[in-house]
Amino acid sequence: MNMDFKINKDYFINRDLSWIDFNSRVLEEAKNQNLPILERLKFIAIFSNNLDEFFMVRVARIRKQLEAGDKGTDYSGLLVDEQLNMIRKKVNKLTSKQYHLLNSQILPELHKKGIIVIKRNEWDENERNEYKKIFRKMIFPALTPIAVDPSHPFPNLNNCTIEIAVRLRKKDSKKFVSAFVEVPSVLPRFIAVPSRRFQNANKVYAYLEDVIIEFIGDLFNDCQIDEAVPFRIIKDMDLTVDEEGVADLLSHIQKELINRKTREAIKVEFIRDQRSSLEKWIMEQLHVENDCKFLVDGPLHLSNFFELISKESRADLLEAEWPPIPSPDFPSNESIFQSIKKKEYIPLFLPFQSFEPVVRLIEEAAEDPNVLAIKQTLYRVSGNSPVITALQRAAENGKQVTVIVELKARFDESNNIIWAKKLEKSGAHVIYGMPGLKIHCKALMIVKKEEGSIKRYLHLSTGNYNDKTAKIYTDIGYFTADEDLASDISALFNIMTGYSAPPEKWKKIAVAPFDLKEKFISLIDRETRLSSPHNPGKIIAKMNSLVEPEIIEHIYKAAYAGVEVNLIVRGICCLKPGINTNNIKVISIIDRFLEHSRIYYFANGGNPEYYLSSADWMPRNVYRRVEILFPVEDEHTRKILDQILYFQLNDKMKSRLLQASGVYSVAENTPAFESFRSQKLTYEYLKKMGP
Amino acid sequence: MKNSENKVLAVIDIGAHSMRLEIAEISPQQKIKTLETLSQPIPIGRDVFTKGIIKAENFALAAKIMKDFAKVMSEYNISSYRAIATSAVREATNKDIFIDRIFIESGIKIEALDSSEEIRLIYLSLKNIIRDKINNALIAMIGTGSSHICLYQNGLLKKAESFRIGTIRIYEELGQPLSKSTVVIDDIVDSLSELLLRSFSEIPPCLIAVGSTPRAMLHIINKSSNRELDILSISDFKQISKIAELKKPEKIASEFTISDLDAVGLLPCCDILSNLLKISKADSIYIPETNTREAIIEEMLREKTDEDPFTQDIISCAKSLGEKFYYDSKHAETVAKYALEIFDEMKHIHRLTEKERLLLHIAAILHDIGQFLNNRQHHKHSYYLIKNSQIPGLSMNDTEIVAMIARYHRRGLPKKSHPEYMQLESFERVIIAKLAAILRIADALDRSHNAKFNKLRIKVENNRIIFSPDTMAMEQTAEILALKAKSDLFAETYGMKVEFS
Repeated sequence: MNMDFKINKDYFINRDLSWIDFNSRVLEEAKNQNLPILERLKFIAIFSNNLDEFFMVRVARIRKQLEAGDKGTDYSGLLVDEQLNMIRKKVNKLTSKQYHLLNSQILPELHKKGIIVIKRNEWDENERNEYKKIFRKMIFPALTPIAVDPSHPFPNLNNCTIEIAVRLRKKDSKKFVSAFVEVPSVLPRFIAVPSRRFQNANKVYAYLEDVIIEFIGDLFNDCQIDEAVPFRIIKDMDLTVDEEGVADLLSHIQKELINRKTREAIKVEFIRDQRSSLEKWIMEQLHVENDCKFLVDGPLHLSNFFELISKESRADLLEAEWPPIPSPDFPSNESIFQSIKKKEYIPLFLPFQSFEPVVRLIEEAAEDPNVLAIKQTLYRVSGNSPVITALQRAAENGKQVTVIVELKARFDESNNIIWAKKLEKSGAHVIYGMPGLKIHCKALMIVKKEEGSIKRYLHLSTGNYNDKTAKIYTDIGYFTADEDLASDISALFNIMTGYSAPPEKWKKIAVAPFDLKEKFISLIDRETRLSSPHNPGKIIAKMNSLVEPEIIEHIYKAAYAGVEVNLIVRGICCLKPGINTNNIKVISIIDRFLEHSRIYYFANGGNPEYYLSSADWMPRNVYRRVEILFPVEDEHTRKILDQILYFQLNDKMKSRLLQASGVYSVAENTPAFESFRSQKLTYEYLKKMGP
Repeated sequence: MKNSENKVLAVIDIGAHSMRLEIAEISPQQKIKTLETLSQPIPIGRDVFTKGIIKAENFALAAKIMKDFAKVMSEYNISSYRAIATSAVREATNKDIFIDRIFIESGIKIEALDSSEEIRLIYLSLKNIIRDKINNALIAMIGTGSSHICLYQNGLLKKAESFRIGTIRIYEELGQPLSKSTVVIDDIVDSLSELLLRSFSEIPPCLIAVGSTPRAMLHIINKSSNRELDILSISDFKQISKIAELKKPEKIASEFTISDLDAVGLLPCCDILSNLLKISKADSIYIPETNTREAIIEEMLREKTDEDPFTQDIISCAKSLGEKFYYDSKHAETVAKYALEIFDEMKHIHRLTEKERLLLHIAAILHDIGQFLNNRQHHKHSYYLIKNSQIPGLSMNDTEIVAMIARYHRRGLPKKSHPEYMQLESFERVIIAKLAAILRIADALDRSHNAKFNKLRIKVENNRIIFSPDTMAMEQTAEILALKAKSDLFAETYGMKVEFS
């Protein structure tokens, strides 16, 4: 084995192409004939939703790099324009695959099952009349046509919204005028009317834009409509707050959000068989190149299909639910504090187990007269979050409540500002992030006086305090009153609140951006050092994305020293396996729950160490975010982690193997492998444990 | 608070370059558990060491940090705390305004410590570590703003000299880029060893270096253990000095993961230590892991009736001050013995504490040192010499009281026309009168400097105090006459007649 190897571009896969591969794996689930049809439709919607975000942030950023004249290459050796070209090609290919699936399999299958979406040209007279009524009553008042002429400049079109481009002329004039009508996102995308012409359904759905286009003449009196064609733009939403010298982060972000309306377009989508004579003009007015134009073979904005799924959430068309299991470690007749004190360490596996103990902990703390203080980080929180309500109660009850709110959580900024203000009003001490750093760690600390002494309860997690995502993301929470961890987390909060500089040494945790990368590398290097032919080292790392080049280099060094490296990477993986070694195995699991937990295991010469973290192995996690890595030291939790990792590494149904070619294997999605489906096995394993 | 409950205390320490807060929980068995440690850098040292005052922007910053600290303290419902400021605040001419502003904004009351009080705290935390291990040493307390070098003999502190030389201050006062400063630093530090050689007659061949920068040296050679007391060999020390000379502080900080302050201060620290190694001829450096905040906490927990653990050291330092001025040690000790016997017998009358007992003890040891200048008016010379000496552990205020007690050990009684006396607070004047009254009698009882009495055998009655000493001496006339002459202040202060039988 060559120990002094120099890492080079051959060891890397471009991160954005790797991301597209991830989304392609999502799309494969939509193709999976063994899944119920609404589940397949869900993956169609997820694919589109993901892709929109990808353009808004990643493609936007690469375009900016190109405009800035960046002549450099990425770690895999690709120039910026090469990257853009390859992205475009891959996206086009996948999108047409997506529409092909939708048009040829999913919509027909739904039709068979009685969920019928019909296009404008397929309406019968009866249906048309019904739509006309709905248009006049419900839709018309919500529309605002905008004409473009010398005195009305090209309007500011909204991001991710369907727009209708209209070409028309006054009845007495020969001169054409252009106008835009936005399809309001406040209205439902799927409009149902009663229908009797199908045996298996008593209603049909139409796309909202079809209804608008059909009756668009109503908006323009005395005008002749020449054409009305839908299209959609995606804008650069990369919120790069230049925080140096920003005194008030809150008002700065509020301003940024307003500015977003005027951001540049990154992608313009038209429908292939509804081309408009206005296309060229629109592209010119948006100041975008032709390579930003994308053609699709069906309705725009497929993530709206979530709406249809929730309207038609028929059990026979969805997978059987896996209702969250109440954790056996938190008996309902015992206070959460009591349970933690008794068991010392308690894990919580979301979404297999119920999120309820986390909410209960905060609620109990809010009412407990012995609780002195509550500190918590909040990143993405759902609208009517019970967490926020409990924190408000606590503040009103005179507890010292400190909440560290990350305003920069992507796409959630405006949502975050609303509840942050709410908390402030109740008397909580709200701190808005740290300049230059995104607060991504998830930590909750409760300071309590118990039998005359101070006890600090913690909940640390790989995922957000969000009761909604707690139902679909696999995350691991860890409850404890461990004194060393408490002392570390206290120090961490003092850094985040700006009360203190970082300590010189942490007792048990590692913290980004201070020492997290060094810690990961030292853990990897220790495996390298301890590995021998008789007793090879072993690393299992489960994360969402693997990008960080230095870590990749050290992983390869470990592999060359004989360490067995198992990587479970859901999304981007820039490490290309299989170069002069078979010791690195990379798999990706895509299933009904979004794999989100970060677990790091190191064999450490027979004295294994387990860690959980909020951080992936990405530069942004180790340099530009506040993240934590904390050890799991109790046998009970370690045993479950062992099981979960075992299930995942042996998943034959929902896992794909990254091959040395950089291509992922295709999953065997046949029911025969159901007994090797890791999420199912995990659910059943946890269910067996109780309550 | 119930006795079974833990106490939560806070200690704030305001140094020349940072502010630190430690929150600790103390069990009924006096076990200390640290709950939180916060620290924030703040360059007040730079202001004070170059301009003599704390600048307005650092007023604001300090107030903000203290407000934050107060917030964290409130999360633990803390009411018992001490906030202690050392060199920078102590030397700032706008110290009082600074302390007032912090109090108004944060509610936290800062005490500015004198050097001798600082020495006492550092020494107490050190003593816990070296007790029973080291008996004789030169102790270097190296700070960013000032340093103290102490002579430690036979398990007791003997002398201490404070220097306005700090690892960071040295640069700030020079106002020069680091690279050019080396030569100047050498000069400054060299002057220090000359002074020490003169002041400390015999220097033991053992060196202890206390401070954050000495601790950081251990990191550089990877010798830091979790032990309380590490040893650095000369060769390791030389290696560190070389690194300090050759590498830039930024590089040192990142390469050895030590703090920026320690990295910048490494070179001056090495210079100071290399000088001390030379004059002590020690063959290694002991580096303890001291924690002054812990010493402060111990002090907060100590009841007024408990004996101060530093007592023996202060007395030892007082004696070495006496030696410096060729005092009659036998007389000093006899007077001290008598004075303390009287003090103890009269406890229920004067109602003073252990602290005043110590002040009396020191005054008794030093009451005659003014004779070094001239026997005439020697009580006034004693006052002057004591007042201008540094006795570790005694604040400037306490030193003033000791000097006053010595001043009134003979001749005129305290009067309104004595300005130094009238400047003091009334309760301090009462203490001086009570203690000087005792000292005068004790001095009288050794009029002949012959230590005639083993025990004074004191009887305290309603309005008189009777001495019937146990003695072998036949001749006691000198003492009896002196007692008559010197019981004036006693009679005036306590309203008691002094009798001898």
